[in-house]
Amino acid sequence: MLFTPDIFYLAAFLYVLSWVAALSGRQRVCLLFFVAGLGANLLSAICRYSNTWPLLPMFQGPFFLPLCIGILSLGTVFKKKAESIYLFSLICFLALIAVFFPGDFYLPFLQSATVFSHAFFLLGMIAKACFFIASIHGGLQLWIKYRSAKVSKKPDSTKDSALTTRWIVWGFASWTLSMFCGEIWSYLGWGSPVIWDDASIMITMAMWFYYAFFLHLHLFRTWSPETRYYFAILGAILVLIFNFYSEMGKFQRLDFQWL
Amino acid sequence: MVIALRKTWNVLGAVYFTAILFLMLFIDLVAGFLSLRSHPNLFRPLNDIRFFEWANTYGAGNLSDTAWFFVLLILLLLLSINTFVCTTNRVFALCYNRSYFTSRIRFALRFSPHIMHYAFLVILLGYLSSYLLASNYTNNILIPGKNVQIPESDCRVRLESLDIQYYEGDRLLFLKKRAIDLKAVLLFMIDESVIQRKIVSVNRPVWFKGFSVHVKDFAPKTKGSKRQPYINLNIKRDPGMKFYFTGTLIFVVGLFMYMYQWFFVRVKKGATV
Repeated sequence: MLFTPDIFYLAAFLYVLSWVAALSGRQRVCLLFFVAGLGANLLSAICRYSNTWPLLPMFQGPFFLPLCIGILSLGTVFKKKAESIYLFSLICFLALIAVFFPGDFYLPFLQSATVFSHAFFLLGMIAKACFFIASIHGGLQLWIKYRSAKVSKKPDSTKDSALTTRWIVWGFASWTLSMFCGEIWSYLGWGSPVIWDDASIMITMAMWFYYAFFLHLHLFRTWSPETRYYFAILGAILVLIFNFYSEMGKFQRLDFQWL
Repeated sequence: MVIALRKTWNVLGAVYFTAILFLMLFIDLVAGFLSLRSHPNLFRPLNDIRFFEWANTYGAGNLSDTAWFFVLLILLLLLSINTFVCTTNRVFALCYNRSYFTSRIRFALRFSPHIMHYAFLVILLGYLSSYLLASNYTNNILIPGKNVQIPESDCRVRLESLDIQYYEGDRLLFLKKRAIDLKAVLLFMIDESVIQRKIVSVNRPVWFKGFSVHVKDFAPKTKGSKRQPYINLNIKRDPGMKFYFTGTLIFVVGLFMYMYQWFFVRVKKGATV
């Protein structure tokens, strides 16, 4: 079981434990479970890759996304920042979706045996992770602002807004590079930079324009940091609906044959 | 007259206009996503035929499902104009304020967003010329020793040999005894004299006199199969290709400059640039 993709079940279980520990305020136990969960998730991702390499593991994004978010938010988690609990919740949620709605039964095709297909996939994952982290951060800032308004305190929102934007900038850069890798892959494999058989290209472009809009928000001096937070949260919801959902399969009960 | 022109110029380059266009493009592409999911056959021919051929047939005949695509083109045209005007204004302003910069590197890095914006225009120009001018000749089926005429040229291409590699390992169960790669040796000839000898493969097209040759399909895909070995080639002449890849490269350069500026050279408030 240890060296099969099914180790993801263990990763999801450890993520849930870390979330429960975080809720009960046991920081050390929580970190222990979280790091163990990340390790199991990493092992599962390596197994999934080695089961298809040099081809691309098709529709396996949901198994890789919790890992990407986890790795990128390690700094936040270890610094015991306030958003840690929300990050744990998000990672748990995504991992459980991957467990119950797996879409990993598609076989890879020969055209995916190029470095550009892998870069397209991995950079896309990193971008989604950045967008989710930005939305968590934005959501937390809105919550802090709401709480501060109740006790008549004024939080320093400028600095925190820059942090949300920074995650979006990283995400946008990764998303753009992912799209360019997809363009090169598409040209090498099919002779055209856009393949009109796959609807997901349209939604990838749509999200690119959405985040391009976000990055132009700073040019409007009248738009407050709160507006950016709302747009960051909305962006993550849209990524979840359009980009993440398309990689999900139908509901499946847990299969314990691997035990 | 000059005032009217200046006003139009300013309106076209307004950043609020950019924002509206971005949001409209987002909504339009979501509509496109839904339309493409439910009617993929309407858009699949765009892989092979030029835009006007598609617009006059599939596009015009199914306007309720393809309208988003025509709207997309209009929005992209408006965005291109807006991007050009806005970026040009900012480049001029930046050059005008050159004396405020104490460091040449900082000054150069300030151009990074503008480089990306201009690169975006080059990419769009590439796509436009590709969909308007590219010629795509599909399904050129070759068996070893046989040749086909390259359309619009006096050249022929012959399949000298076809070597298909089959997967023999145990790691990839779904690929056992199935083709994992191929090497097709192509001879490009004029009359009967060989001009060039090139190897084409999956994901490894070859280029010859402005044409690119891509593998679309081949057989046999399973080891031991009695099927006649053949290769199906797509031959394409795409004048937009150089533009969109050049634009992509310039965009990446601009992006790295921007990231470098964002994370390493950002000026603190109150400091000189």
